[in-house]
Amino acid sequence: MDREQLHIGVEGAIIAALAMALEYVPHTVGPSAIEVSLGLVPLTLYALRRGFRPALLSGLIWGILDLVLRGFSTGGVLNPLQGFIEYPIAFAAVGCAGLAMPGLHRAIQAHDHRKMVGYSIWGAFLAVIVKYFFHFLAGAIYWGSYAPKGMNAWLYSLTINGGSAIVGFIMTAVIVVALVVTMPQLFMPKDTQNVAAI
Amino acid sequence: MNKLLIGRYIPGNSFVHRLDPRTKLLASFYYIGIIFLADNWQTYLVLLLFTLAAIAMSKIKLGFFWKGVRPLIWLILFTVLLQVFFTQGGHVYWHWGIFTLSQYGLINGTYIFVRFVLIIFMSTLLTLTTPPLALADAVEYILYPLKYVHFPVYEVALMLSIALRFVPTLMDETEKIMNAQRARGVDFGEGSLMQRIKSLVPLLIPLFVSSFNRADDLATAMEARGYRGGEGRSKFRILKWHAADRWVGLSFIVLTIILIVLR
Repeated sequence: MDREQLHIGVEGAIIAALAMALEYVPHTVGPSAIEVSLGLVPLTLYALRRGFRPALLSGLIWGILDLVLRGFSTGGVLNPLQGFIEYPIAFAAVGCAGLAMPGLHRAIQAHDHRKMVGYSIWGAFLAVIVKYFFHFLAGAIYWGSYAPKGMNAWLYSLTINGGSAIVGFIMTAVIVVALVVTMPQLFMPKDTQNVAAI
Repeated sequence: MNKLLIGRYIPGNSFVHRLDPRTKLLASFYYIGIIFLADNWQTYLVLLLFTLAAIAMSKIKLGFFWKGVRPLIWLILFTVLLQVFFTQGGHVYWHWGIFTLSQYGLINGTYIFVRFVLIIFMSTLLTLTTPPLALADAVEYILYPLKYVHFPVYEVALMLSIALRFVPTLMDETEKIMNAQRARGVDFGEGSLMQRIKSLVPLLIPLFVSSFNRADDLATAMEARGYRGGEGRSKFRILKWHAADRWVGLSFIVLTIILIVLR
């Protein structure tokens, strides 16, 4: 492990820990029936700062932490395949926001505020849509094994996860845009050579 | 927030507490898999007795396990009611519009309820008898075979240890910054949806700045101490299989055979 990898890895670990810590903050945003994950914000920011691969690993760590610290004790795993998709896979998928990193970095360097906002929203959209797509799959597997025969498991999963995805996207996009406008340096590592290639 | 328990571990020295965390983790996943083999009252009874025996061996009161069911009670009731009122077949006791209370519906509803309770009891047993750090070590061990498909196992292992170490620290820091911002007049729970979302920005900026600084300091310190990572690094916590772990493995094989025979 070289110096650059070590710095990126340690940063990813701390961001995963922060995402987990923020999960314990009482959520007062949005309707109470819809689960909102505040942890999406640090992971999206990290993905836009470091790129796809480091964010994928950091998301995976967040997923394992959530499984170990919350998932098992709250009955989050009710089917082995559902548990596998719901935790390691769905959480790692937040790293997809990193696909918007090169464009955002170019916009920040060019001080192009419109593009900065556009790429931040695109990053938040990718993070949320891919994460909740996997939650939707996991939900369909859950309802497929627990709902009566003939019930449309896909529709139920879409209804439940769709609401969370919309609220999660609005929250993540608003916060990430506010951060990129007020403190763009958060999205640029000190040594820009550290930026991982996609 | 600093009083909030991370994980639900109850210290003890029972047979279940002493088992290797890898055994407990793999056994829990395996149990959640084989529970789907149960399809009649005999198989559910066998699973119930097996689970109660495991709970008795942990020497933890049953009340702690019921507490594990509580957060999921609405999901359980919703799923059970769907089964009860929408499953067709057998003698019909009551019918109104799209709802039918049938013999098969009642039986399926009961089975689904028992399945939920048993899965939650078993995963609660895992978290009550295994510290989160040991569970993370077990997850790390299970990931090792992935190194053959070029998965960065050692990188993930390092990141997992660091992340677990820093969750309580960052929770404390979040609380401190929230209190400091409240003292400056920030209200995290008031106003419209947009105002409430925006009120999180003054919390998140100092948190990100301190997290990045912390990561930088930690990586520099590791580098200064010659950290290289990768294969061949020794571990502080070493996991060892014992005879008890083999007995647990054997009991699960026997349980699987019984379920296959009885179904």
